[in-house]
Amino acid sequence: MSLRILFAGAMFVGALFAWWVGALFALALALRYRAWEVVLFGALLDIVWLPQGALYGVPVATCVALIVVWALEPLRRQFMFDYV
Amino acid sequence: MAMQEGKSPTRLLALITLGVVLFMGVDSVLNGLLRAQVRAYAEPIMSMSHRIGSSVFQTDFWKSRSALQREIERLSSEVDREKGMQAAFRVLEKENDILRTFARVAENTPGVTVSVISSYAASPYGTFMIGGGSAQGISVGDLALAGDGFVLGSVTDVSEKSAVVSAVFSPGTLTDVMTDTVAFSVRGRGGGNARAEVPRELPLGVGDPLLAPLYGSRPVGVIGKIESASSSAFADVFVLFPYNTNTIRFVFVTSR
Repeated sequence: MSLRILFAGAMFVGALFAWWVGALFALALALRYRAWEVVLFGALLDIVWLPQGALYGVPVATCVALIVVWALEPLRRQFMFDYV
Repeated sequence: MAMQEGKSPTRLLALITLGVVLFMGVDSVLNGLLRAQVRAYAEPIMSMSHRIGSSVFQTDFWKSRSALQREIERLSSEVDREKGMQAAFRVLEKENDILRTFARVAENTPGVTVSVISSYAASPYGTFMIGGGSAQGISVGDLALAGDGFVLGSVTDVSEKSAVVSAVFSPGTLTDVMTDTVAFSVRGRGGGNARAEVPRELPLGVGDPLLAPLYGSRPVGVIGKIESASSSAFADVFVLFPYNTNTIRFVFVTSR
């Protein structure tokens, strides 16, 4: 659990300086955990940075976060990770 | 037992997913009202992180002596190149002044200087936050200028004390530009860079300033490099913003 908190903290703090730093930690979190923090991270990126009306109003970061978290579920099951 | 233990985190994830989707939907219906509230809370955090980042990472502490020497040499050659660019820009500027006098266009541009309060690299969409909003008379569509009147971006979202600016060269954005003889489109690549593919015969040169009709024919960049293979009918034109976007601390916001 401490690793998850560490990665989640690094994800949110890293995003303040460069979005791709946060994205790297988000991917690591999603690979290891069923991480709802990644969904919040994607939503936060869109809420703060996505201009109104840009990209036809599609929140790209949120969609990518949702896909990453949910699509990696079979991979997490395959490796029998603890469900935390 | 493993499946039983997995159900609670799955429910939590599903709930949060639903919450985020609902939030985005309601925010879309309310035309960005909810995100404006969230940005108001994010603004002091962004401002503080930007100050910390600038004071920690933009110092020479992290650089070795040899790296500093290389950087001095690189900067010296850049200074020479910049002098050439400035000369070309001054020619255009003089022509523009004459034309403005003929057209009786007001020379004093009203506006306000505000600080940049977020890291340019923090946003994946080529946007950044400025420390001025509707309280300073800033509205959507206003232009953010840097340096010698180069357009850095346009305001896309405004709250009372801050605003979000979308950079001209944000990733994927197509912008029509022109020199004194040629017009073409450039596609933004982020970080103050853009690229265009043009016929080889076009009279373009390194250092040529580019003006954008969308932004009142204000300059948006200069040509940094032109590459073409002898077998190709096209040339790749690399455009750059003449100032390091990571070190811009203030912008002048004016109406379009």
